[in-house]
Amino acid sequence: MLKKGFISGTAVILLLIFISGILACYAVGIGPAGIGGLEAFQALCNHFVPNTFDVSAMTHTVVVNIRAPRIIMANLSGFGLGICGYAMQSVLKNPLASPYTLGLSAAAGFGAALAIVLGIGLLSSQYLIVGNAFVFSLLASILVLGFASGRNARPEAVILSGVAVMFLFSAGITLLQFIADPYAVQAVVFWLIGDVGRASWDKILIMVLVICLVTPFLLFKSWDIGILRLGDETAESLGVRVSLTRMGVMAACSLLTASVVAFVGAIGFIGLVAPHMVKLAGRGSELFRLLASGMVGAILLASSDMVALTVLAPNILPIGVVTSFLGVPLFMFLIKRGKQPK
Amino acid sequence: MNIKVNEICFSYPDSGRINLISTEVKAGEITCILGPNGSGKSTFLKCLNRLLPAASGTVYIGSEDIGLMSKKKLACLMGYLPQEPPPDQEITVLDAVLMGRRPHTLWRPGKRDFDLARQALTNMHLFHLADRMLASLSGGEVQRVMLARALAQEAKVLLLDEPTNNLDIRHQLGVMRTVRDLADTVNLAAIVVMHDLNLSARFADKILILSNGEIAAAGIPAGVLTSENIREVYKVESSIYMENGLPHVIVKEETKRLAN
Repeated sequence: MLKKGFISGTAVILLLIFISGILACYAVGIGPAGIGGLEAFQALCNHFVPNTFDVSAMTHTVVVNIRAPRIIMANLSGFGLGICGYAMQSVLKNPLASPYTLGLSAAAGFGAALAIVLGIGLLSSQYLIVGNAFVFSLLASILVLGFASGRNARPEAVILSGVAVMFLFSAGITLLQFIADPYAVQAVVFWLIGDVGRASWDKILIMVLVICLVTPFLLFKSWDIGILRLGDETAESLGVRVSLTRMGVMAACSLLTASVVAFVGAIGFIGLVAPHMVKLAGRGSELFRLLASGMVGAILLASSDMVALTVLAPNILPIGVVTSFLGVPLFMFLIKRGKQPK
Repeated sequence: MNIKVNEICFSYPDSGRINLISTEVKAGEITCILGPNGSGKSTFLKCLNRLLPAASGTVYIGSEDIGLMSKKKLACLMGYLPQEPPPDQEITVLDAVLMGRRPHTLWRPGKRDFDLARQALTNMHLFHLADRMLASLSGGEVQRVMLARALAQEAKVLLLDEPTNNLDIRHQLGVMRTVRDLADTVNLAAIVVMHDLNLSARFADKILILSNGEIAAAGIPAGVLTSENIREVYKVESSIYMENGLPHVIVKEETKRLAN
């Protein structure tokens, strides 16, 4: 029963948070600087309660300003991509819906490339690339949702206009790469690959604010998101404002995914795979599935980052590559295992 | 609650319309809407619950004009089962029935909502299926689950758009028997769009035949299902024989073909 399922769902969420915490504790001791887990732990303690342990300034800097933000950003980004992936797939009734489908990633990439290649941007200095990526990503979602709203926000209108916008911005990126010098091309490619190492505390603060804004809204709308699965007409007849709900959820997801891709780049697959893992793993209320998708996304991205840091240490692999290499076999296994309806 | 429809009109921008349709369905009664494809049956049904905005005319539930109601209030009073089955059937039966409680809640179901959903499943003899996915049920069972949803919704009026579509004879009878039981026991007023003339004759208190968006005939089954009306509306020849006071239609041949 759902009520019983909800209670066990809470236990599952707590378990996922616990796993995420364990991974974070382990990850803080990983990195090319050769600082072990114990030393990293001491540096963190020192940060919160000064002079508890004798820790060098370099260790303190590496742990507090590089590793901790990296781990937190990986978890926040994974959570954002996972929860938005689930919400997008549900309201668009399409299992392939993700930030890629709506062209948000391509638009963010174009914004970043514009800043890297031509130095054009809305914000100055250190926020030139991030600001551009964010603004263009939001611009893409406004384009897509604006176009779709004229067609009663029908899922196919959202997806098709998203794909069109994706091709538009991808072409823009190609054009910029065509005219750019080799170093700029390299920088654009590096940005497009995605990297949680770009994290900093101020970016984390913004991310936390956006997540705190978007997540309660999605949870509040969770039942309506589930009712849309019965069909638009049925949902409408049950008092759900279908177009408003779809546009609201898409706008909220656009804001969150725009923040994620602006800060860490176009990390693929998490937004697609995390919701499917939750769906394939079992049943549960929409509220549980949203939260679980977020937590699975966080765990996937955080563990992918750990692998990226360790597998060819001291070199760091692009995290987007690792998420796909790790996620695809797991995903295929789950599809093969395919939970059949009973 | 009674539902009274006064001169409802609606036009699609390209083609198709319904024109000045009026009817009244009393609580505990079933009215079947018949008519050829494209005659405006589903459009009429959608105008009743404002899925489509009527160009003119009024619909009253009890003494209240639905045009002045909030969507939520309308959803509390009127249940609707569309023609197509739910597109995503990876939902448990209990969850699907629970969704009927949406108009009565703010954002998520509470204990009373769960109790009412379980009660609806028990009343519809579906409780043993509560944990099953919709995808694993037969078409007839899915329709009964959707009816249980309307029961949990505590709707006073039920609109059903071809609920017996794609069902075998046994399940068709089962679904219509359930609608009849709901009308008799819960005092629901039901408006059912159908294609099967004999099934309509058997379960309806009143039949409305639409043709080109207008009422071609209306009244009790025996008065409406006549060879003349069927020839006029469907362009087919038929003979009617009565059994236990109910008309039975035997379709013979297309009128045009006979004329040739």
